[in-house]
Amino acid sequence: MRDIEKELRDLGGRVRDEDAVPLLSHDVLRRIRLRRIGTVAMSLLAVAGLAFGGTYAAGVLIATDPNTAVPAEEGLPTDKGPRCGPPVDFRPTYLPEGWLEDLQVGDGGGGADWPGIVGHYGNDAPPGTIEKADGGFADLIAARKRPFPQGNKEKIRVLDKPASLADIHEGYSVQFSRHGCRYFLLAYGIVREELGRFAQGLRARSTRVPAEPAEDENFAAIWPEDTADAARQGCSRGPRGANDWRHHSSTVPTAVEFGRRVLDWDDALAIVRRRRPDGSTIELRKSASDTGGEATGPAIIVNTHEAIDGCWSVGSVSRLPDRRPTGVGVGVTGRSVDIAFDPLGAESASVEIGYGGRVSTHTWQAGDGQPVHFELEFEPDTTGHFLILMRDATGAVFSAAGGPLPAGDFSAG
Amino acid sequence: METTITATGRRASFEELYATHAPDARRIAYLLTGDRDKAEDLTQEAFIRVLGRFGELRKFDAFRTYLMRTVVNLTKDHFRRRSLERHHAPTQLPAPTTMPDRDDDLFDGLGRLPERQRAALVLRYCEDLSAHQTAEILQTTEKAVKSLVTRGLAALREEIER
Repeated sequence: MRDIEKELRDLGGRVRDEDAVPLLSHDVLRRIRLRRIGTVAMSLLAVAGLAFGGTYAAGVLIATDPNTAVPAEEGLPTDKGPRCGPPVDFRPTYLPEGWLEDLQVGDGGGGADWPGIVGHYGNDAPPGTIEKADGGFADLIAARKRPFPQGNKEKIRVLDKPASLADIHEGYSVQFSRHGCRYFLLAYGIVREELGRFAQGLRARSTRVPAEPAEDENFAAIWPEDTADAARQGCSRGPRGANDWRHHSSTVPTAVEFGRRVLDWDDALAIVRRRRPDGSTIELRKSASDTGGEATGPAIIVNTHEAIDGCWSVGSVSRLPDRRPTGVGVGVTGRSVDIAFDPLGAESASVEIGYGGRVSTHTWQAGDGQPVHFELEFEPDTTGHFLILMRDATGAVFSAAGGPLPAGDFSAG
Repeated sequence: METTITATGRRASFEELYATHAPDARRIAYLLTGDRDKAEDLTQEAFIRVLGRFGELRKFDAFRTYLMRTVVNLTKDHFRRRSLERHHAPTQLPAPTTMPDRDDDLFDGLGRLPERQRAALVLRYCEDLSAHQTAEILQTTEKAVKSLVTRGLAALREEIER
């Protein structure tokens, strides 16, 4: 029998022997210095804030006195004390672009002289952290006796209850309550609007037991069909050959057809940006005369792929230049759907959720809250899709985001 | 040369800290990811993050632990990010890779273990750290580390003898 422990030690030794001190690049030094300057500045300001006895926040809220009574917020319960634990039962249904989902339970702070979870600046182990790829983050912190900053507050709804969104030093904070406990959602390095949308996209984690996976559960396409069974039927109909856009040697006709039928882009131009053995990433421009190096008018990315052998489907669509749907969060719990998205300045948007040919469509208007919430009239018991069409003042589609959905409960951003 | 003052009063340059600790950080990142380029990136990112917070570290003696913890967390994020990308574009990205740099069934099997089991084995055996040190880095208890190691060894044996 192999001595795995010894082999692992040997492996470590071999890799160690290959080590050389890596170079410290100028870029790394520059970024370290920038961070250092920021940290020192925040520390000085924090000290100044404490010296004046006021409430101060440097990315996170700093309590001047842990025993300070929390002023009552309209519509929010007062702090209930220690029984309010970490908000482990939350999940985001919306993550702004470039964010990573990293909600995790803290260890209560025992022995944690360092926050540990990258991106967290708090003193105790954080109950939850959502990190942004470039260094920003939002922390979800359980109830503490901390005053909430006054001024520039905005009333929003989180978990269907009143909440407050406010500026803090170099960041933003949302205060909300759940089960009589108060929580702070603290953000640093992101924009206020993103935090608001993220906070309103928080949902209680589902306790439903997932149903048995359906056949063809891995099918992933949004158009023309979103189930394997329907795609097989769709692909078996119609002509095969150069005149059939689904069986053409190129996937471009499929993207163009999607533009024509779904986006009402009758004069679209398709540019293949990336070829793969099973499909292509195509930049679809609304106007065929938009032939420059970069699109000057409406354009999206269309990912085509061979969902069924020898037959093309649209796997996902996204705004330019993203190659996958970003800035979108979708949550499906039972028949309940929440979709949050970056409207990209749209006057209105058509929000569509479909499962196996059954489609529910809702219209979002600029100024409406997010996430868009609605109830399906059917069970999401097959694979499905979501599709959001962003429209300008004339109602014309200028951008889109869409992707496949699995059967049953789902949440991703 | 830019310097900073440690809690013990010793002045240490970024370059000095980097030269001292970067090889260890990079080796752990490599053992966890199996990708030398990625390990290089993660090491640099870990330094940027930890050194950027010099003023917040309460125990400078534990700098190495902070750094290793950050490397492990960044590695975890790396895999999560890849998983998220695959989730959004299941047909565009290659299937999960294991350890691309090596033709080694042990290394390959290590890459298929759950993240925390892999981290526990790398820290305990490849890095020869104690259960206590491993627990500090993984922010868990020694008991939990022992459990992770036991389960990790069993899973790894299963992987390489499959």
